[in-house]
Amino acid sequence: MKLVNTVRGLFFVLLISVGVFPAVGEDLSRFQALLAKIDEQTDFRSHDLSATVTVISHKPGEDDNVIQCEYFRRDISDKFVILIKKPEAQKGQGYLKIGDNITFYDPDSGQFSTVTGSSNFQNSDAKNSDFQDSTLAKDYKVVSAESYKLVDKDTWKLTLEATRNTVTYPKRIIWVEKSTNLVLKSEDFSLSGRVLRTSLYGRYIQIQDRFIPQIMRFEDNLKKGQVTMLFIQNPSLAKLPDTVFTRAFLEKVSQ
Amino acid sequence: MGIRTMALRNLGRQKRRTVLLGAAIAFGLAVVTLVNGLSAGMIRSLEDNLSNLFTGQIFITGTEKTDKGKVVQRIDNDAALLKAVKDLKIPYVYESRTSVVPQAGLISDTSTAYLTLYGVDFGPDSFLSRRLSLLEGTLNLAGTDGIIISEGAAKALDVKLGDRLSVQATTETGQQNVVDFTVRGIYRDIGVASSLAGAYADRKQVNVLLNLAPTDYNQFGLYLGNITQVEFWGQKLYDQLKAQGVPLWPRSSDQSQIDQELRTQKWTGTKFLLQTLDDKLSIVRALFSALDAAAFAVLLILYTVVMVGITNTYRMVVHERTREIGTLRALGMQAKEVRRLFLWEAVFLALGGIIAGFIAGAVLLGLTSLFDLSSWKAFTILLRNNHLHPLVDAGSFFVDLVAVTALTAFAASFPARKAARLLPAAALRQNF
Repeated sequence: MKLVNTVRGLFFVLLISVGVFPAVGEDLSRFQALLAKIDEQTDFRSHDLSATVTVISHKPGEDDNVIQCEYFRRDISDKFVILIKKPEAQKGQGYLKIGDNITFYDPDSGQFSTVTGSSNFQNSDAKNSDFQDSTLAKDYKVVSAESYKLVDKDTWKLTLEATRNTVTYPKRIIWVEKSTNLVLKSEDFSLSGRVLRTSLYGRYIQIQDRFIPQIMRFEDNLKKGQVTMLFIQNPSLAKLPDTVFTRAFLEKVSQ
Repeated sequence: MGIRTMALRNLGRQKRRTVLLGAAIAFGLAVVTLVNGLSAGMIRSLEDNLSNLFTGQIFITGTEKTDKGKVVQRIDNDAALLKAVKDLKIPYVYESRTSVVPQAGLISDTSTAYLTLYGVDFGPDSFLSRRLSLLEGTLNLAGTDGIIISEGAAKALDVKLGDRLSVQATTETGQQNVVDFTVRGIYRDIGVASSLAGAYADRKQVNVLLNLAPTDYNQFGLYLGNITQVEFWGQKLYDQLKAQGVPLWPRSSDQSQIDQELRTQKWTGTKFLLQTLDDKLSIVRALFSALDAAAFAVLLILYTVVMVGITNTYRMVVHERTREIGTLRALGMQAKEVRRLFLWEAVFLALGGIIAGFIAGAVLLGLTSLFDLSSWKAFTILLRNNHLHPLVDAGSFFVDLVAVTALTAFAASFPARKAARLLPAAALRQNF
């Protein structure tokens, strides 16, 4: 838990030491291209991605909930599989995304049920859609942009509006590091305009020409003190068997 | 003197034995009457209470698939539904148009509760105004941002009248949304089934949360009053809608089957799913059926013991009355009449026990309904006005009556046959 507290503290410092610089008028189409760039350098279309993911949810007055899972992603065909390994009570549960459909497998009942991308992952503040590849350019249009000093980093603060009413968050504000074109922070809004979640992305690592954040922090802005940390470890681009992205795989490995 | 009269008089000759055997039969029947009456009453109270909470007894939900493949839970045109209801002349008491949010997150300053939020039409004649047991506040929320929650939810969220709640939900198209509500009413808890207890708010306000048009809704409900008619009218309405060419999901469809078809089948428009309270309560009903089955199993075991007792007793009776049988045969009574005499004794014994047992069971049921169980909060959902409301089913009493009488007669048939086969001379020579 020390690691979590340290990271939490770092992000807290990051948050309170935000510096604001005057906005710079920019051509918004340039920023639309920036969204495409962000998507491009964080997707894994030419490789499969696998990693170990640890999700730690903190809710006030409750013990931290730690979930460890195996994570497999194949962006070229818009698929992912998440297999829960710990805790024992949830072991064997899994998620399979193929296209727009996400199904949840419960080994206790042996049943698959449909879940949505906007549903919370295992009662944490992470959404199921947080595990898929970035689709900012497809889902959003940039409605405003300004230069912003986020701690010591020069960023673009972009206000995005969803282009379709099926996108989980109708509005987002994202902070994109100018030098790397990587998202460092986002605020996710409800349809009624309320900030629902503040997300921070840190410790990007480069795998070939792609980037992946090793730590994500999701703070629930409605439920005070509720925070989820997501750690991605041991990422690998090794080719995965096609059978991984099937219901049969989830059923087999849960036995 | 007829055979039946003789049988009755014979029963009276051994009062103690008759009373003990009759009491054994009566005890078994009293237990079964009590268990069946309580479970039937609890099911009925559960159905009534849930009809109120679910705002109806026959439900129709609409699943719309747009030409872009988007799925929306919505009924924006109910003309076909209303026509079917009108054509069938369904004797309903109340119709409801509800916007249901299955997993709404109610967020207070200190806590969060996930429950079903019902967007309903409030007004002086509204369904809830007659059905919801309000502890405090008002039911008149038409045009306001008020919300009514259960006593348990208020406690869990640590809120009181006038406090604000943020309600988080996913819109019909999958977007996150939050709308603020003010607690304007708190209703009495329903105990063990509190997870079924929802929150109620004005439909227009809930439609803002779901991003639906003000007049849209996603569940049409009919409240019939007479719950025994629900399945009948539910099926009639389904058949009528089908005859009208309204697209319908099969009645047995569950959500996973619907999801599967939504993914794989290519169609556009709205398909309706008709369900009755029975469909929603199938698990609960199965539980009570298991209870009834257990009671029946106990009855069988009990009566097996009683039947063995009756067989042995009548063997003894035949032995004791051998000379009497010989005398009767000598006076001209036929063998089959002797057999009938013993069988009638058994039948009268059974009838006496059954009637006594049924009366005892009914009295006990009546007594259980006298107790005020308002402190029995965990089971409020099974009560009516804080009292048990047992039901005695004439049909099941008739089944018990026939079954127990037949079993008793069967148990007595072996000694009766033995008595009938006695030779008069041999019987008269018998010494004890």
